[in-house]
Amino acid sequence: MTALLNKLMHANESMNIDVGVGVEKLRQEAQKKVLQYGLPTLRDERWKYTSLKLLERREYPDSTDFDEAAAIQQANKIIGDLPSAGLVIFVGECCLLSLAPEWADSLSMLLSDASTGGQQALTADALVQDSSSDGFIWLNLTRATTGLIFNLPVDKSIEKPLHVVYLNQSNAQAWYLRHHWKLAGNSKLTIMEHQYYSGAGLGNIYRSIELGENSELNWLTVQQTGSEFVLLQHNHIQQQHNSLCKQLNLDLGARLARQETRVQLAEPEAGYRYAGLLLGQQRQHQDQHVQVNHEAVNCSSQQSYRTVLGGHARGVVNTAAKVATGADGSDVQQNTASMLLSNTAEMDAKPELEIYADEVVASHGATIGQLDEDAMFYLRSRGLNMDLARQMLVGGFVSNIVETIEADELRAYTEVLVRQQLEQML
Amino acid sequence: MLKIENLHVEVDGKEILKGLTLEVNPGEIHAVMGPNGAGKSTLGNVLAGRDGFEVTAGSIRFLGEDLLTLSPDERAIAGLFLAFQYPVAIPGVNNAYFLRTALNAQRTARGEPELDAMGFLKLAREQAGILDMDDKLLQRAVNDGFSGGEKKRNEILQMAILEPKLAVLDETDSGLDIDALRIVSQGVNRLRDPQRSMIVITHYQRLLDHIVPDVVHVLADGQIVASGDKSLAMKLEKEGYAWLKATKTASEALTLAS
Repeated sequence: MTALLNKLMHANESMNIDVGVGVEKLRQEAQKKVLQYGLPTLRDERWKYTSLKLLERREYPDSTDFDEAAAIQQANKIIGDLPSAGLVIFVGECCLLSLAPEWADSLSMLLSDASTGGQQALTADALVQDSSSDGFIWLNLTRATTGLIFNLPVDKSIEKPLHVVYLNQSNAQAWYLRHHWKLAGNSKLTIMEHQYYSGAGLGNIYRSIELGENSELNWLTVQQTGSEFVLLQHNHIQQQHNSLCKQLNLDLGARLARQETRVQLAEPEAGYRYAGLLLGQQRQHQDQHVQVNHEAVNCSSQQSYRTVLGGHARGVVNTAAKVATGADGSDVQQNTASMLLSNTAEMDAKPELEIYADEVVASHGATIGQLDEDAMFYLRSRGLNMDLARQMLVGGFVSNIVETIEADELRAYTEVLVRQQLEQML
Repeated sequence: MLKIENLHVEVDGKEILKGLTLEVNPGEIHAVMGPNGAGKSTLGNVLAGRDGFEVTAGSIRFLGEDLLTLSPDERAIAGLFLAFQYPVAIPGVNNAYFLRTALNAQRTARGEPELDAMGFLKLAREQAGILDMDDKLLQRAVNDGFSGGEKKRNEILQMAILEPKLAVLDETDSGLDIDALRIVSQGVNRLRDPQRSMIVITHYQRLLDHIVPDVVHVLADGQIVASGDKSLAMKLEKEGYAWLKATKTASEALTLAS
């Protein structure tokens, strides 16, 4: 493991730019933490389903080659004619912007940028005070120089989505991105992320998200990276009074994709909704952890997953909620349903509820099954061939996740992606 | 239309049908009655091609073709339809979408043009209206949360839209109240056609008051033991299946004696 840590700590060093004294100090602190904790192993509870052996075998050479025109063309092709209030493209750790006027002055890309709040964001980074022992989070802080940083002003509401596209043009590199998204009181925003990495690289993305009073974030991520890519993501969401975060994740690609999201419902009436869809095939490994902490009264959280796995794919879904003493009126719902299409696919579902308050409504359920033979026969007896019947059944099984997307265009767009993926799998 | 000869069927190694023979001509309605466990539903499932029903002897020819070599979907495309005793709920799949896909799969396989969404919806609403079925059920998930009566109406709606050549109605009357029975039967009667045959599987005679059969068969212990006109059903209703056992024993005795 030390060998891997060594490789990753020095990967892509040629990208290193001057980050300023303040940030440099933080990085040194983070570096100490990395060395203290090391990288996670199968002995760590949260990593017990996900091995890093694949990462150890790989090399992560430096590269700063960057074809701007090709990146823009690729990103535009991915987004197509979706409504858009702006486009942010990350090619590895390089960044390109094309924004609608409403975004002027509230957005930055460099963590070292003092004028637009990059430095402040990093200094105020929740994690610096946080006691996470996950080496990848600290590694991100030591290495990341870019990210999407904004502070959406009070009362600002941007209807059309801001698109963030993740690409790479070199085959096997390690990239670090660190985002800070801050929504001030009464603001509203939709972000749609499109992750289309390819090759045998490693992406390490960290997001710190703060939602002010009465703000609302609609956050949709389509992860469709290539079949050899490894993508590790950590999110830390802090929510104030009556804020609402709606997160939807479509995990369609990657060799290994792991995402850990921690949510703090810090003030009353805050709400968090998570809808996740994992579609895995071949030797894909997809691992999702969401931990929601209810820290104030009358907060609500919902976590809903659908997983369909074929081939030798493996899925992990850990839904956890902790309701603190005094956080009465909390409403917690978790449900995970998984369908295995082959005898060699594997699913681990781990719902957790930890409740210390008295007045709480909480439910959790996890099911794992296969295609229903009675339903298959019913569909086939009406003239649908085997493939059509399977597609219809599995499509129905996953439909309630995509249906949570309110905007018609975004929903139609994701429905097509899901259907295409299912056609490939079935 | 349909010719079943000496059909033997096993389920989990146990013989259920023991030499069933039945012929149905175009335009005819045949009722198959019989006590519980006689093999009535097995007959429906074997015709539709359900897994787990093993034909150990005999043959089924449908429109001159060997039915047993066809998959369930090929049978549907050939014109066979089974109205399920227990229709299956399919969460997440829109009823109208499912029916349109089924109809177009059949049309495409027969080399006919597909029906577009608007054309289909018009047809589906019209047929639903005839069955006194709420339009909204078309936009719900297939049979999901439907009442017993709604499920049965949905089966007949599918039959009306798919226009099969042979329909097998497996205990369509079970779970229906008197009014629903009348409406569903009217729906079925509307589909009577000189080119369309039906096999109505039922436990009770009451359905046959509404759907009047040309021939009534009594299925007992895996075989057709008696066939006749509607009066046979009346006799069964009046005297119960015990009469049948007595008759069967008597006829066996007679056979033995001769």
